Amino acid sequence: MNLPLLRLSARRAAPLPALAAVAGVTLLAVVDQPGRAEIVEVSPTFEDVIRRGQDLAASTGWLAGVLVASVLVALFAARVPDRWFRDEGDWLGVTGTSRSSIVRTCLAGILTGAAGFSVVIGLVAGALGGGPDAPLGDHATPAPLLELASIAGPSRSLLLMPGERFEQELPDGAIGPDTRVRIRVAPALGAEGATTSARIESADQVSEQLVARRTWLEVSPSRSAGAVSVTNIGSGALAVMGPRPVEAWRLSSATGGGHLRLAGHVCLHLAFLAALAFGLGAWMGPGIAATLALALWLAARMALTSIEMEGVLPGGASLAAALDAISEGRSPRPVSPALTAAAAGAVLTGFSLARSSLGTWRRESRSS
Amino acid sequence: MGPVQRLLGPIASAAASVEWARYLGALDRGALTEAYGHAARALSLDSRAAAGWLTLADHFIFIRASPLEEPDPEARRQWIREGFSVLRSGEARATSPGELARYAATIKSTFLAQLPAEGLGWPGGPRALLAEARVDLERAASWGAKDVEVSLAYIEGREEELAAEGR
Repeated sequence: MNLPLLRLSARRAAPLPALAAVAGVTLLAVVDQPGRAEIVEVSPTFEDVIRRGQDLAASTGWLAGVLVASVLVALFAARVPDRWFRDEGDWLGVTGTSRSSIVRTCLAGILTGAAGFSVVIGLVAGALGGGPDAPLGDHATPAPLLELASIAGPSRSLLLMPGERFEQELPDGAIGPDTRVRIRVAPALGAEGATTSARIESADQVSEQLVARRTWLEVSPSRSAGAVSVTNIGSGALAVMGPRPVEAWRLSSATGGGHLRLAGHVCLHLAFLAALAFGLGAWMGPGIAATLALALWLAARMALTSIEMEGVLPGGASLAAALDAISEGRSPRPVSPALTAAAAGAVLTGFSLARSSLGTWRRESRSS
Repeated sequence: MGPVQRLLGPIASAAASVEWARYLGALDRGALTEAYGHAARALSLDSRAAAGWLTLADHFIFIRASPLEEPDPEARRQWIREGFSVLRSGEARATSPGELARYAATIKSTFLAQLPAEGLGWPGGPRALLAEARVDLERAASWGAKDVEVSLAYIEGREEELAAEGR
């Protein structure tokens, strides 16, 4: 692999001003604005808001950084092949390097640049917005880092009338001593009361709660159990909100408060966009190629959502879930093999598109 | 205006709107802590707009203090006080503090003072609420709020009605 060309492509895919811009946007989203502390301290019930403010800021920082980086990565990646055809064919095309090698090297440089954006966002959002070394503040108490162990339940919502009970079995080992289990519920029409109360039970732990809006019923079993149940003990109807309303969370060993895992999700998302934009940029103008790459990603997300497969798209539901986990002070799940395969597929597509466009370019370069 | 607001300049308000949208999304999901975090960020991004302070105060006074959400009267009174605290915080920062003070007076005189005593049990009853509303209106008038006279006339009328009822 041609290292100077790889470095050049990486710099072009992630130029310093663009990295600085993404870092700046992330920083602006993370930084604690003056006055916020006074606002949240109007109530003692805001202790949770103060404690989780940094997690929320980190999530916002990631979101803002990813949005800006997605556009920049697509645009800069699409510009790389455009330069081949504009003014670099004269020297690049006659170096004797194979077409595949040129494409492969440039693509590797672009993916390195895309990863650079992820690192920059992670450094700013992870270091300032949360993570294990973040300052906790006066009101904070360190909480154990959790990650999602399993999701279960019916695919559709179900209604519990007063006195009725819903039980969900979970896989062996999903509920242990250090696990938290929660069920998504909401009050519903159909019974006497407008709101209701619910009891959640798992192993020897029981918790009761008034349900006046959509909320989570959560319990921390002190020993292993195979099931969790919720009973409507109020006068109103209770909806168990599908799809898959039961979540089990276990202690996580993720490093960096889960920010490293989130960086992995973001990296795959940016690689997906960059590779597509690179491939399309070999066939059309960089602006159109970048826009088309973003549009294709959006269309894929909508299409996959309609068939409930949105979790396999880099930057899709898995990234949204990872951001939600960070905002709750929990760790995202590691990157799945399906996500990696999807990103690898996009890289292969980008390579094939760019490689096939170079046949004409090489012949023209040699004849000139 | 803080340094972040200065840096963001004209887009600070747009950024606050995004936070308000996320606040509504979090409320819809039942993630109250997250929702209040977004609201606090939105208010600090654009603390000069009265609408944000009114939105959060409304949520506390009419939603969280609702008997459907909170059966305990003491807890309901606490949420209502939080709502008024939000309005007072806004008075110190918003460009139209009189609007916030007049809104606090309106809630006290036309809503809380009308509630049955057994439902909320506000200390001092309707008379105390009307007296507080009068103070709020005087503050609103000092900031140049409009239609203060109309609200004051209403309060005087209500006080006369209460006197006639012997309350």
